[in-house]
Amino acid sequence: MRAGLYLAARFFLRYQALSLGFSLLAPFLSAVLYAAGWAATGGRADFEKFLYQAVGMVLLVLAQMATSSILWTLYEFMRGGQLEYLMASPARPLGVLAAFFLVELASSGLSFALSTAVLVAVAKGPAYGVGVLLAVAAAAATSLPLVGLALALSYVLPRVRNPSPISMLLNVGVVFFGGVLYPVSVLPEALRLVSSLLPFAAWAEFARSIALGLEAPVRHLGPLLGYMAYAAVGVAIWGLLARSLRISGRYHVW
Amino acid sequence: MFGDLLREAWLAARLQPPTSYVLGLFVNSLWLTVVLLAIAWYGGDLREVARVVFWGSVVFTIFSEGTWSAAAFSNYVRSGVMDYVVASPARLHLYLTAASLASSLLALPALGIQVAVYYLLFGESPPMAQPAYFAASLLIFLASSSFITAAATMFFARFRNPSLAANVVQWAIPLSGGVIPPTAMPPEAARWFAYSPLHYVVAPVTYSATGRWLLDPVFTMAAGLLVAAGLGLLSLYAAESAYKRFRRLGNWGAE
Repeated sequence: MRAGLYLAARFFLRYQALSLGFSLLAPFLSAVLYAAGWAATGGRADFEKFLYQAVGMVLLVLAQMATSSILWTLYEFMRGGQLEYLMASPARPLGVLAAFFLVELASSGLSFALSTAVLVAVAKGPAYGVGVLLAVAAAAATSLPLVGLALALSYVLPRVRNPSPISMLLNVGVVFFGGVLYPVSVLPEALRLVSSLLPFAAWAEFARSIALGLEAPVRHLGPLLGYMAYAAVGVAIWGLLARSLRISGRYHVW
Repeated sequence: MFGDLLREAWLAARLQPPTSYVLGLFVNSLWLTVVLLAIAWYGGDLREVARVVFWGSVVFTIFSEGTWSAAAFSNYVRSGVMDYVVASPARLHLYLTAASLASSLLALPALGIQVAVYYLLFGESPPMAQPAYFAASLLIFLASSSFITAAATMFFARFRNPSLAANVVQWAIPLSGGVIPPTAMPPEAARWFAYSPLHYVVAPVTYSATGRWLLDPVFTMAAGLLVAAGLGLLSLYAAESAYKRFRRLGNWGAE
């Protein structure tokens, strides 16, 4: 794990300035949606909804780190031939993947959290700015179901040889079913059912309650614990993938 | 130029696996639905919001495709492909314009999917009030978009990682051009768009589709032609100056 943290820190620190720039995208994109909503309602857009979407953008980025980003890191290890070495090393690939995720959270995730925290603090008061930072910490701490989903999907990576289709589906899945830009209640009944089967909405709702309501509702913890099954399934499928890679020796993806 | 266009379209099509391309079209349509829901959540009627922002989202999709293809050129720079391009008889600005246009054309099938999603959601086709104006507006927009992304290619080629710059271009150009239709905004906000040159090449696509114009249609289209011509000259200048810089320094910037 320590070796993984060192490797990840070296990798992500090179992009720190870039990630600070990218972090401005969260308030910017929510401002674009607000401007469109303002135009669509003839200038009567609710500012609270803008803040909801601004926090949602940060949660979307965190979800991408917990899902797509892990798949891309694994793909890079496979493409570069490092996976075979990691499998044989004491660091273990899962530990290194976890280290990359944690360091990305600490570098890029913090940048996004800070830019939105400043925005929310200016709009609602400093306590809510701190609330955004706490919400991001809570979202990171409760993101295991999302990581599990990514690990489960990693099983198909050696076969599809490109994480792009999986990550495209994951990204749009988070935003469509996750209630990050609008509440899940606006979806039709059938889609709400699909949403309830996925871990995104409960995860986002819990974090948003901290950011915009300054409360951590205990009632959300039950569903979140239930979604931890995704983490268990993900780790189990990862074990199967590692075993099949050892047997076949096909660690590389070209 | 036409030969360049066909070759670049063929190359761009070959670089994308068909399943990935089809999946991309499907995902694009879901993103469109997300954007509609996110905007309509502010209180507007979903159908009315869709009528207002649909063609803007199409414009954005096409421009975005061109921008990211332009950003991907830094891979060509790093791998040395661009050195071969300038050593070939192809003229750099024609090559870049053809490559940009080809990537924009590849985004057009997404238009079909988005129209289908619109139809599924609302049981009617997207608005198309003035088809002749719309066709002319779309041509002006495609030409302008290609010129802008061709010029941006040489700008992106200076960065090892152009993703942030590409994001800025991707959003700044359509937004300042009225991708959120100014006609839907209060007049005091809408009038500022008349001062943006990009307004005359971006917004007419939506204006002609909805039949609501900020300024006189003939004037807007004529101004659009002039702006497109100006953008063509800008792309020529960008390519020529990048070429001269390459001849002088021996690199493009991203190596």
